[in-house]
Amino acid sequence: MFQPYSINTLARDRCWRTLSAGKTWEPLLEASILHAGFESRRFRAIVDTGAEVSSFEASMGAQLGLRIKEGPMESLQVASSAGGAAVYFHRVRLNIAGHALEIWGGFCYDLAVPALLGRHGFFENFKVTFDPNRKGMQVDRVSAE
Amino acid sequence: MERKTDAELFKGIPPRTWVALSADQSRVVGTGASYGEAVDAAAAAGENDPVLWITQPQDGIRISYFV
Repeated sequence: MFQPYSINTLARDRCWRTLSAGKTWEPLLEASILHAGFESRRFRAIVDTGAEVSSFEASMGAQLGLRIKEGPMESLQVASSAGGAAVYFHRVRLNIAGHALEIWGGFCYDLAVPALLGRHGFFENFKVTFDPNRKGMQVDRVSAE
Repeated sequence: MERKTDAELFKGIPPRTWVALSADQSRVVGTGASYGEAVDAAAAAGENDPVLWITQPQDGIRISYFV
């Protein structure tokens, strides 16, 4: 599938404005998650090659009945911060780009977006081409081996 | 018609607020302090297929999406 970038306003009017008319682009995909027969509403998820795992804001998982803090806990290391946010992993089904995947999803109360699609859980299942000419992403499922 | 940017859609809504957008993402149909609150607000407004998002700060440049 091809997903056009989401266009947003640049937060600051400095270096980039003359190059981009004050706009920036964001690689967003719509997704939902399922657990125990309950499916979340659709949410916007950021495609993030820098994220080691795919993670979700924890209140979404709690709404599906996940006992968030009973999952295996790890400490997230964020590039800009010395501290580590707690993330709890649960097995969930991720619906994205017309596909349903069983993944380990990290659930974190300190996430400031609904979801990050990272290397484990997302990029290991999809080939993603960022295309500046078409101003969007081509997202294709990699065949399971 | 060109789609509104997030800055236009979310004008006046504080950062880090859960927002529920209409199914076509053209307007805000509910807000809340959590995912559940925003979903409930959308349902109360008659939207049962919302798309959820969290409003972002409009100052500074983002390289991380953690609080």
